[in-house]
Amino acid sequence: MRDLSCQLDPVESARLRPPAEVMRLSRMGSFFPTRLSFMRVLLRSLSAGEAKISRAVWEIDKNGWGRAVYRLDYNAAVYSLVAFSNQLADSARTDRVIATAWDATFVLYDGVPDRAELDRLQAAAPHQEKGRYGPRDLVLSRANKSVRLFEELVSALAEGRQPEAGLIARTGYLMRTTAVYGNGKFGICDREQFAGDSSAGDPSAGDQAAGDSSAGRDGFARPFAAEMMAVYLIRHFTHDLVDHIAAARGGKKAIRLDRELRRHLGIGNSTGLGMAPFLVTHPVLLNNWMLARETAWARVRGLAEASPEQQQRLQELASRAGGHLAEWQVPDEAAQTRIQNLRAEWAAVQASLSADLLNGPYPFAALAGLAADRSQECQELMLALCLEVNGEAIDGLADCMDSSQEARLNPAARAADLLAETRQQFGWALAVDFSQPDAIQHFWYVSAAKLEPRLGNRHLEAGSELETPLDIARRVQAMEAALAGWLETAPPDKLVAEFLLAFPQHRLAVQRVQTNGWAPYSEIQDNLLDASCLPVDMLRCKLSFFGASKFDPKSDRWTRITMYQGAPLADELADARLADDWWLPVLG
Amino acid sequence: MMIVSASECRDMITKAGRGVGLEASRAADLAAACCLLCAFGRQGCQAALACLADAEGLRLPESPAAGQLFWPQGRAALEGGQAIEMIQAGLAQSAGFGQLDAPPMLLGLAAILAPETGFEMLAGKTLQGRTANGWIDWFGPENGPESGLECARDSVWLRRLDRLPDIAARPLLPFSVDPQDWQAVCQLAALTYVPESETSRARGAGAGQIDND
Repeated sequence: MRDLSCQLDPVESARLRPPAEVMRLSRMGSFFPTRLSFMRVLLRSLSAGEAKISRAVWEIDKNGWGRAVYRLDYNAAVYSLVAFSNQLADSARTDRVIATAWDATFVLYDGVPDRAELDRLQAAAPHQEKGRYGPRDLVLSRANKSVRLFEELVSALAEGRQPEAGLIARTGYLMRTTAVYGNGKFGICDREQFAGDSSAGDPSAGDQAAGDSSAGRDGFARPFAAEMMAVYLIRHFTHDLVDHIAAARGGKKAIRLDRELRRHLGIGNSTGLGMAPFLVTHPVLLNNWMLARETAWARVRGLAEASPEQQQRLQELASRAGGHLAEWQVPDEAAQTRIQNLRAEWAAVQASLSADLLNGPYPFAALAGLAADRSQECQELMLALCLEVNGEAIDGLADCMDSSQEARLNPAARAADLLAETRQQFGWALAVDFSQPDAIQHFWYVSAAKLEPRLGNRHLEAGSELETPLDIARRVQAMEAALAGWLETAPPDKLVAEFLLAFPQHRLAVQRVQTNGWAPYSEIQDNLLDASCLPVDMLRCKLSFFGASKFDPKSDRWTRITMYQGAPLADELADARLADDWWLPVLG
Repeated sequence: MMIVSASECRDMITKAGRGVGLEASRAADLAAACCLLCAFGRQGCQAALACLADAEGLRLPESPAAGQLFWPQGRAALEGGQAIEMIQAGLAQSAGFGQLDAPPMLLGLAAILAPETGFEMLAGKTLQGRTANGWIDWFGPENGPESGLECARDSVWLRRLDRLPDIAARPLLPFSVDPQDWQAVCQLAALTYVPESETSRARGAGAGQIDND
């Protein structure tokens, strides 16, 4: 899936921000969603592919409990979201991964399930990780109600009145997903099966379900597209659910939720540490995401002029972004202070968006300059704004964000070259003093309970001997020391394969350094063991690539977010303008 | 037999490898090779388990002839991987093992580690195969190895081919795994898990204890 828009010309390459500037946790933790974010790309694709969403099954009682199936016709294939809504005691409602019950559980299914398949899913999905799934199950998820907003909406609609808009703007969702599992977890379909080669499937599935869609499944070829699809359909289900319960409670008095309010209701999500290691364990994918984003920014800064339409759009969106920042309220004091600072900075930026600047040469580079002396969040917001008005120049880069390659070792390279490469590219890692207790305070591990990634304190907790190998900086430093020592006595033409024959323990570090040579954005350039490391920065980076907004950090290691807020509703996808105009939405 | 996804297989074999002390990147390569074998209908998990029975310690090769490496006792995940890389680097043309714990895995690793290089393997008198472009072509003794390799009953030889053999891509199969093998893999993977404590539970963040807001 490469097209010309993935290729950098030398001028564009020279304009890329260097990895040393971009790949720092503090900057990654300042990212905003852009038009290259996966939710945005998916909805453009759904719109272009004339996707149709319809309700195939609705067996939900007056309390909102039961099951439902939504059918998605998309790119000559058929999928279904199967939803199970359950009664849940308040005492059991936790968004943590250790939960054992949820308000609702979901499966994105390949095809349309028949009764037997529905029953199979109903026996498994409410138990989530404890169930076993098959190749027709593409995504598994669950969600809990935002209790207060859900009840307020049901009450209001049942009484025949629309809920207060401010309440919807503040919360932004009726349910929060607490996990969205894809790519083979618990036996569900591997991504490579539905994203590319569809010849691998479950032969036993046969004709057990209607709507077999073994062809045309490239609609989900892009990263996390199936997961984002499931979340979009879950949002649709929550809208229907609140209308349904209100109608059951209010009878003839009840009304349906207003379309604009409905559009502003996205889906919440609670995200913890489980998401963070992904960025380290998928270095080539991380590189491709970052490279696409940075290429887009370099390309846009290189544009000589902005059209009158772009100038007008830019002013409108800058204003909308200001409104979005005003709507963005979080309880955490430090995070709220950052938001307030950003509001002030953005107001100053908006005041500087003069016609002279926008009519001048290289206006987007000038806009970058306008934010250059401000906070990293302000710089990244400016980046997202400028990308937003340049879809024609950059949208093709969405096809460059997947990866069929992985980190690779080149055993034929000269060991002396490896040493030079290490010193040149990993100076940030070699500079860390690992003899300091703070530099190794954290250790990443997998907990025996629920098998979730966690972060421990090496100086206080047991288990560091089992730590997950996310300590790239420390490993590279150790490899560099061993390699330098070995080369002192070895002939200069010795190869990497020979070094690794003597020092096999450094193979991962060698692989990372060599991979970084052709994938320059593959490494987070910070020591992830350091006491000052904030995993929530990694979460924000990844979630911004998904397209999430309204980051609401609850600690240094978990955050709530909002997805699809302002996004078009299912019956609005055919409108290409609506389908692509929901960056940093504002209600009203 | 049970069906597992490629992702599960890869994840668990990687952890199992680390659980028995295999270097992290070797564990990941073993997992990828295991998946390739499974996708070709071979018992990849069984082969991986054979590799994981003894995964620590350094064994350096002998050099019985120019361009040849030889390990009297070899382990596919360790010396096998090193042999492939030495050949790939042009430091040898072939590598032999007096005994090898999991011969099919050697071919799987060759396909994973050096997809742009053609390899031919002969294991005893029965198991033979070639790799190219990340694919494996298994063939019986009736077709004969094109490199003229010969080997004794227990030994295994891997040789670089001068040209990339023409191996057609083929549909991959769902992963069918012996439940006992899978259980054994999961047990080894569990060696990397840290037992839960009150502290770890409290600090294993993801949300509040109760979320009724």
